[in-house]
Amino acid sequence: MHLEIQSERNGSGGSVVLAGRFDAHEAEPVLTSLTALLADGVSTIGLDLSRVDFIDSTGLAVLTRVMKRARESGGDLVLVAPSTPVRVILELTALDKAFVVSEVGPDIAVGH
Amino acid sequence: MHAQPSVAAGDRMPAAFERVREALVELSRVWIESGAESVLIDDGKGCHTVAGSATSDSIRLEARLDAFDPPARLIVAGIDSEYARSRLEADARLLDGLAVARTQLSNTTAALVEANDQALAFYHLATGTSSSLSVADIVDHLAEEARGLTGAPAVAICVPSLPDTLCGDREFARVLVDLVRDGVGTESGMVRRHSSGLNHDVLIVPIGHEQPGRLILAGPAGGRIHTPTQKLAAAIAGHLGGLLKLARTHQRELADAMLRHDVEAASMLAGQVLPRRSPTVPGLDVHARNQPARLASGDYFTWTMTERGLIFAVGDVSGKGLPAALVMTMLATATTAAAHRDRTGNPAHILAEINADVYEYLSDSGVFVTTAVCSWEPRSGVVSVVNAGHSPVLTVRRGQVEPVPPHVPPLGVLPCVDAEVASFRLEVNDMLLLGSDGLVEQENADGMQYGQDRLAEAVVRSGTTTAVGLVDELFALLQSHSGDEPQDDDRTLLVVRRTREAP
Repeated sequence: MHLEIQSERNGSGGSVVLAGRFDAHEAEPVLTSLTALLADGVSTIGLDLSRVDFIDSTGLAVLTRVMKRARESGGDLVLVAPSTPVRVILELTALDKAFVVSEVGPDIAVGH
Repeated sequence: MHAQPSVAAGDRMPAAFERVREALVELSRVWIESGAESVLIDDGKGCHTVAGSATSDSIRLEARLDAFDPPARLIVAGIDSEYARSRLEADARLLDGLAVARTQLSNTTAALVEANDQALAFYHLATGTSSSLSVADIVDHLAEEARGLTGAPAVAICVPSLPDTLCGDREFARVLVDLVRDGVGTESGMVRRHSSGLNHDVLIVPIGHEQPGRLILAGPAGGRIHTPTQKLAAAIAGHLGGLLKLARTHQRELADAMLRHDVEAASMLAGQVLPRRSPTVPGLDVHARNQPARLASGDYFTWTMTERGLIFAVGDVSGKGLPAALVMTMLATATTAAAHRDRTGNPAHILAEINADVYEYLSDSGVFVTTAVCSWEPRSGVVSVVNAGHSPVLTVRRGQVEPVPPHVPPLGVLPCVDAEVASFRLEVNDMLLLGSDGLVEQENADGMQYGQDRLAEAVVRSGTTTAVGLVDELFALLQSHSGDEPQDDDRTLLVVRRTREAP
């Protein structure tokens, strides 16, 4: 199974939509596209996880890494509308307490 | 009229007689011509007619055939005389002698073929010892071989990533290389002496299919390079191509083997950070097991006896394999060190200490670590748990299984952790189970996870009364759940059980 990554920039914000299975095999491309946005001056990224049907610990580690980098430069990585499997694992690891999780779409999420 | 000698198609000659078949048929023909009704052989299993036909009451003469195994008999029917007897005896000796000679010949031929094969194999070994020679040595060797076999005054071999190999008249060989480099209009093939400008034919042969290498050789001054030399050169270049491929494959395999060895050694060393013996703690029965999915585990467990009681923990580094195992050793050590330093007996304090020690390292490594750190205070019998993103953590009290949910994210996510402590008094037979997600997320052939509910059910149903018994049982149940499916993730389980013994 494959993970689709759609990334776009709007102003100082960026939005990335992931769809599919987010595991160790997909860690590198996701990290690359998210850090590319940060390097490009985007401070806050809305990451749509509504169509991610699986995430493993390596995937979560990538999100953590990007979140920490974004916060260092005054921005954030906002997890948008995580799917049920993602939500379950975020709760199971208490990572929902570390991330800003938003229910609204990435376009709106990156606005603030 | 006498019957014509023949071997009936249905009456096959026994295999042992095949080597003397011609002689047997010929002498049978002569017997029939001299008035015999038939000639037969008896190979110990039965009679076979070689020529003619005989009635069962015909008179028979017999002679032993000793060179056959088992001994056989040559039989002539319908004839009897002193002469016939001695002639039959002579025929038998003739067949014996022939059989022995034919056997020796075939043995000798086989031995010769074998010896020739060995000589050939030895030649290949001696010339192309690609496993022990370097690529450069092989090229040198073949260049000499090409010069010797073709009688070329100069030979050059150009192979990418190696300096050019020149042999014979080296200066001339250098000219040949330059000729090809400068592009005489051909990448391979023959450049006749009128167009080479050297008064020599120059032959350029590609080496192998994959390497863009060239074997270049010069013909005699003023003479031609003839077809046999071209074929020889092509054969040498082909052979060299094969040897180079073999040598490179071998070198790659050597490098791979060294890497595998390093990975195995490192995995073994990483695993040694885990305690090998259960701690002896009055009032507690403690046992843990770790089963890596690959060579090395990113899970760990650890325990330390301090003046305030037993500190124990289980953790799981994100990711798998050796990279996770390297981080794991760091975490196991940091946990033990923080437990030793601790004077509070409060696992929240120990967790904060560990995070302070490893946060930067984990940030740089891009990983996080889920962990549950616990302390057991012998006097009160109270066990305290802090859970940083870890699961499953289960208490089993009076047969009831309850999860201890995480209160803070894993280590390495936030710079500071301020965890809530969950405390329970452990009564006799109450237990605390610290697992890792590999224990509950293992899938079976239908893609169904083992799951925390099934784990809890198995714990309740278990009849075992020891920590090690429960660990054994749960690992076995998990194995039967996964069946032939590969192990998805590292599996760890630490069981702490309150015993009757006074702490």
